[in-house]
Amino acid sequence: MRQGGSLDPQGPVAEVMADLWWLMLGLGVVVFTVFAVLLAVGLFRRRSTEPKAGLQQSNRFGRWIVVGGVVMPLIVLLVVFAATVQALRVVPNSAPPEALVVEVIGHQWWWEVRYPEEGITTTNELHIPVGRPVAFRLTSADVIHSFWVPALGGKMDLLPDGVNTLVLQADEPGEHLSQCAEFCGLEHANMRLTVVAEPAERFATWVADQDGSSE
Amino acid sequence: MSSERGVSPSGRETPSVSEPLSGEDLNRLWADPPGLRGQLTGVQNDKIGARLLLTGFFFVLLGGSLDSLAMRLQLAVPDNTLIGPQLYNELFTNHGSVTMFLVILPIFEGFAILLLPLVLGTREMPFPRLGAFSYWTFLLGGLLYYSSTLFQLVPDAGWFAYTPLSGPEFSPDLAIDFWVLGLGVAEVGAIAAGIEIIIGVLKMRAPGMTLSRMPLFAWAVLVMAFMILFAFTPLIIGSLLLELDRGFGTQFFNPQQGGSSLLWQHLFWIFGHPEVYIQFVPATGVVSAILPVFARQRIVGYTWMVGSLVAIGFLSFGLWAHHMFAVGLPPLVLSFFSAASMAIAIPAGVQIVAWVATIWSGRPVWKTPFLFVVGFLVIFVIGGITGVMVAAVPFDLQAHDSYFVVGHLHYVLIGGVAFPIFAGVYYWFPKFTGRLLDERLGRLNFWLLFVGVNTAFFPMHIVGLMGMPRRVYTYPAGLGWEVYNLISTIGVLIIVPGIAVFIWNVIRSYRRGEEAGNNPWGADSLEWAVPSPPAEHGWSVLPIVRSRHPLWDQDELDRGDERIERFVHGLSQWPLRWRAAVIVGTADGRPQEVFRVSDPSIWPLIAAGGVVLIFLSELVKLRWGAAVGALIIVGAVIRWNWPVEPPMSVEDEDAFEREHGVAVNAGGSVVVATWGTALVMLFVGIAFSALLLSYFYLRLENPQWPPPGIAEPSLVRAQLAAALIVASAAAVLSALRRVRAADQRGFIGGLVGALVLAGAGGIVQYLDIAGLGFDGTTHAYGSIFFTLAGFIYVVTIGAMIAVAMMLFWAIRGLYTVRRHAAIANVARFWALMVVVWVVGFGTLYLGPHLT
Repeated sequence: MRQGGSLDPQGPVAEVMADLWWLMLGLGVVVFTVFAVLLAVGLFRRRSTEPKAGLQQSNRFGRWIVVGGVVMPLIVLLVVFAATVQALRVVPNSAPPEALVVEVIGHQWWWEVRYPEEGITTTNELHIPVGRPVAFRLTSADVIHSFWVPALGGKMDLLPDGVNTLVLQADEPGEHLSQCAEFCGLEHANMRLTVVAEPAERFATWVADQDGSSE
Repeated sequence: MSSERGVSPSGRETPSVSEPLSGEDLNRLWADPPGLRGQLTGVQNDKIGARLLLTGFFFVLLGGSLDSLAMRLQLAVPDNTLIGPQLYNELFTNHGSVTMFLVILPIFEGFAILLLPLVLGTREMPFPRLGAFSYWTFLLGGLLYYSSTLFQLVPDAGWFAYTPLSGPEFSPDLAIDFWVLGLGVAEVGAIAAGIEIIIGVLKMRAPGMTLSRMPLFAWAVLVMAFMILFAFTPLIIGSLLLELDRGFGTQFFNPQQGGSSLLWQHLFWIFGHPEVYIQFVPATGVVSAILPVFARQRIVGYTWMVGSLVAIGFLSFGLWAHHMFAVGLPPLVLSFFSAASMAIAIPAGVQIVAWVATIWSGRPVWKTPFLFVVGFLVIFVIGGITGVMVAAVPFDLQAHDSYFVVGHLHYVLIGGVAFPIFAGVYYWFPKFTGRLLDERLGRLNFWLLFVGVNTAFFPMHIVGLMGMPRRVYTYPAGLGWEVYNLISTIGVLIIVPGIAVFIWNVIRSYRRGEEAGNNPWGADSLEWAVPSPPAEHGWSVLPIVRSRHPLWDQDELDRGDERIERFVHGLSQWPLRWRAAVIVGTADGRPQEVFRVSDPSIWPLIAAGGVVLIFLSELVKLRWGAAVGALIIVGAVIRWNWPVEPPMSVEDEDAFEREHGVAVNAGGSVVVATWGTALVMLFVGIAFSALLLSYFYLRLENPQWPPPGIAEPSLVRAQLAAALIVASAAAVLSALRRVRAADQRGFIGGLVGALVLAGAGGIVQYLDIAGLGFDGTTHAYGSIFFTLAGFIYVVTIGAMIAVAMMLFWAIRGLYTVRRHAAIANVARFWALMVVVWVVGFGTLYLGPHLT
């Protein structure tokens, strides 16, 4: 199994999220470096004379504060927010017509997976075809759980209140270990799901094999 | 190692306080009684503040440190069997709950109560008994919470206790009730201290200390106190609803019966997000007090700093849903909360720039408090940057509930809150004990913590992005998570000796530390003018403030405007037979009133006991116990506020006023009582709003309202009841006018009329409710109906008890034209009650018809 998680994206949604991450990491490093340098210089620069204490600050510090405390952060935040909105648009929140529909029902502490069109049910393991969007319809039979495959995209909670839809797509074959991502009780840490992305023909074969052991 | 004693950057000596006229008399007047009686009845702010601090540190050793060590040892290697899932879940629940409820809050409220009178130039807090009550509820609430270990019923649903996991179906035993009820008691205490701090900062300061001369520390705790009032109240309501679901069968959080599991999350996070800023804001106050002293330079951008504090206070209430980005919110909502969460970085950034600019224009003195301030800057900025990252929704959908967030939150909480606490201890320890903490040990303490914190929490960001979720007692091998977890554990193993060094430093220096004078750091704020440790009465003669940095700018503290000088001297030459304190104008710092601060009393402890009894009775399902507890609280509060014979006659009060232009109210402050009433009204209003919010949220979640099988309520009796209640307001207003016109009989008649009308309205409404065809346990509609109605009744009965007490004392002739301030306050509260009644029952009865 590849170990990168969200930093090793294998689907379009995860790619967008990873790109956003690298942008923010870059900006974050720059901001921190600027801050650290200013702080270090402020702390360690050599001062010729004892500063005249009790003196009122000259207005140049007022300008510092406006530029450094308001304008610069505002610019950085606007860039980040623009990238956020852009990325948010790409993350689908409704199922495209060609999507494969998979129902995931969370239980304490196992995953029930139903393929309504294919008519099969599996436990703790789900397969999806590569290159096709998959619409996960998420709900819970008891408490709140959360479904997360970091290499493919972000997470979505499974609520007993209703059905949430999460759309993901795998662009390469691979096997992923998915952990429940919302604390759900005693064995939350062991509520694991194997997610297998495979080429369409292999997927069809797998579905056919399941028929023998379906409900 | 020499410390610059009392030499401020301008080279001036620290001005000394005026010679006390009779220090012993003052001490006797202001100190608590000796012995056990003093321990139980004491209200002196030093004692209360110190107790809060020590209690907070005690709880952090229990729940902040040992828990974390155990958890990190378990996670050091994959598939570890050191600690099983049940114990691990209890550990992280305890770790979060204790640090968020029982540690940081008492520490900062303790700092505030201990320091504010000295820093602001007064002798006491405005409601010493309320401070005592706040301490007892913290202590007893914390002990109630911890008593769960005695019964093997330790809470295990996380500090956030999401429903339905924390509800009756999935947590059927009493563990979660210990969580809700134990912490509930402590929450009451937090609000009480908050009210006291607000009034203390706004109204009780030295003459001449205008708002713009007030230290940033005071501004910070003021903002914190307001935030506590606005944030803890929705939590109390949410906890009430959870406990009703668990113990009384209501359906607030049960989606199968019209409830919503997300309602809990909204109520919790409306508290939970401001809570972290409630912790951060006072920390910035501590930093703003310390940094300028060790940079030998005034703070740059004071007004910007104040603006930032207020902006953070407001903004923090608009961010809560960023804890819920993965629950399925609509895109517009996601964008709004994302933008707001990023926006709060701006006032925080302004503060950082102001601090760095202050350092830049000053000259650092590398003592331990300053080390911790620098450590705070570095670690908090990193945490702030990762905070902006998680505000970006698409990224948060990966990072949420993963170890990335664990890394982020510990950077901002340890860097942004814990490091300033350490700085504050090193800074103020000499003031209150007379001895300096050891510098070498302090440096060791700092470096162990700085290195340990970064080692422990930095790798968490990486392993979180790789896919490791939070709140897991173990993880499988082969995913590449091992090395990061091991490094984190090593980091904690570096932190632990750091804390040990701190404790050793405190213990050792308390007896054998180098003696500190009044002002070992050469600081600028008022507390450094009094001896270390200060006398019980604090200021012998009240200082007169003419600058934002009094000890750096003023040669004497008893010179100023001539009138004020005469006033201060007049005050200190009085026969000192009662505890007199000064109220100033909120903005201009001009003396407004002299009043009597309350004495030691056992009633705060008994009232706290009543609160505990109510919560404990609910825990063991002893319903009559709760009724007894309520009676105890009512009785204790009445006795607590029992009027005392004023120690000064009206003629003497008037004479002083003629001489100095400042009113004297030896029977009790008019100003403080009015503000106190206003804040209590605010509290009630916020609680009411939280219930209304819950009502409308449930309404929106249900397609049919009322649900099938329940008829819309008839309006007839509700309208009659409302009319009677509104009429009672007219009666109270009339009573107020009558007492002002010296018409005792009309006054008493008005009070009686109010009680009769309100009583009649209450009965009519009750008859209607009793005849409704549904209960509170079948569907959320009934649950919120009866709960909201119950709340309205509690407010109404409270108002009626207050008026009944007014009547009791009126008959005994207590209220005159000259002294009747309490009537105005009760009238205001009555008006609020009427509003709550009309809006509340209007919602319940008209809501189904109109929506």
